[in-house]
Amino acid sequence: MPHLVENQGVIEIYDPDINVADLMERIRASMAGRTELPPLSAAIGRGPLLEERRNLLQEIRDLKERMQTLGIVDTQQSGWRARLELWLKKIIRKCINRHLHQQQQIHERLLTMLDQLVAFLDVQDRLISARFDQLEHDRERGMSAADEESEG
Amino acid sequence: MKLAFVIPWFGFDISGGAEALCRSTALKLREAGLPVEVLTTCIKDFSSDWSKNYHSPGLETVQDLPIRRFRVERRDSGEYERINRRLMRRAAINPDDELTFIREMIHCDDLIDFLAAHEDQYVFMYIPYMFTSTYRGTLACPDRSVLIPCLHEESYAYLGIYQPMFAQARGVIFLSRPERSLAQRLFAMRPDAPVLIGGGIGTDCHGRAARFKQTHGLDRFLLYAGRKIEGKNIHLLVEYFCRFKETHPSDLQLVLIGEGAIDIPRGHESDVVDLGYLSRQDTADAYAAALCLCQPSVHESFSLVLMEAWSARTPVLVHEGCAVTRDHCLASNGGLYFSSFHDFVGCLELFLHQPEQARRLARNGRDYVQANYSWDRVVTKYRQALAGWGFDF
Repeated sequence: MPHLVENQGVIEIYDPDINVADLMERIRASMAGRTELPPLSAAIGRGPLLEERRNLLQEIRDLKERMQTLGIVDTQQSGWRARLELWLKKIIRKCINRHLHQQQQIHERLLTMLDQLVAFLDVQDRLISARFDQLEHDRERGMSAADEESEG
Repeated sequence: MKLAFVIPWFGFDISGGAEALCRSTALKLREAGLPVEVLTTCIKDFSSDWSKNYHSPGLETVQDLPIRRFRVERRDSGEYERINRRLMRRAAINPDDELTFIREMIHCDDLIDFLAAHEDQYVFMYIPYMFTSTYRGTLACPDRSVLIPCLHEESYAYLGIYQPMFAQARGVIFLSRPERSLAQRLFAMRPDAPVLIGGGIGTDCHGRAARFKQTHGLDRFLLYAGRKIEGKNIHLLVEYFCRFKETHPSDLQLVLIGEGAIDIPRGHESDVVDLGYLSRQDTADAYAAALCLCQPSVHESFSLVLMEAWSARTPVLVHEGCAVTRDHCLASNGGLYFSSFHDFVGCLELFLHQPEQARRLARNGRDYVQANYSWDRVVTKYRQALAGWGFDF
């Protein structure tokens, strides 16, 4: 049981089971003996990495959608204004047909490349996730070993 | 004879350690039957314009406590700020600047005239040490003056102007052993002047942990209670806590209560929860619900929040750089201290993973508060100190 002792105007608590000065020494010794462990995935940015990857994939999806509709002649008008606008656009399109065809070829190549990039990112993501899990596992094992060592 | 607490501003809703100590001590001594009054100015509070009369001058009684307010006059705030900025940068100032500093801090001639004219009717208790009301009042009637300095390591404590004030005061009440040691190192005092009393803590407000957690959707959390200003070292606590969360992912949160605001680091918005100013009951609930209270400040002369946490059976974590809070932890065997991130991690791990040890620390802290700072003890110590200085009530 703790007991009370007056010392220089203050009643101090003496506890046979807890001495804060000793406890602090033990905490500091334990921390000093702890080896530097690999930081957790959160610390090296797993969260931000996944967030960025999600944003990138969304951008790619949007881009693909836009590219698939590229070149389609369209109008926001109605009635005779719409007919006039579409007629003018088709005339212009015929004038630059060769150029548009070349552009379309490039876009198709780009589309194929983006598909490959998405597939690559998927594979890389799985590999990085597995590596993160491995690091966390190693870290936990390291902490347990250090604790056992300090207790021993 | 009456007992008057002299403080530059007074109100029941003003925050700040010295202000709260003055308010609670005045009320408790009056409850105990001593004829207590408060003498103050019409200034609103610490953060307001010290030339502006916010309150009306005259006598009012609130919660059965008579409060006399005196007008302040316009001062040269530019000159005061110029010198104060130098002091805050810890730059040396010359004796002329020291006098200008204290003269242009607050112009409270009406209050000082009242003190001088009623010296034979009162014992004046000045709190805290650095303000013009304390300096001029003590020098005007030293034999009737008792200082409650709330002293800690800061540039103001080293100004020469305060030497005669401490030397002449009839009594000096200290709140902790390190505060008394610092004063004895810095100032000559009358041999029988220094008395260690401490602050009083009420034990009538019982915290309800479950209610607090449910109301605010919290589970395990570390608590900070107090003003969110740089002087309280709260930025270090937030930085350390966010680093801890990055290396120790868990549901642990840091809850901040009290006035002011602080920027929470990006990505940690859900880790650090700022609940702002809480009622007395909510604050007691927060203490009871917390894993531990963290007091990172290195400038404390007592630290009321430590005592409140211990009263609620919650252990504490303090900064080793503060002699006062560290002394409380060592004397009580009721709290841990840190001076580095590694210490901080080690201490938090103990609170998280060794609940029995944490409970023992908290119990010791509570015993320490009850043995030293219950109101019954504090009121008795005030009576004994006043009698020792020859003031019989």
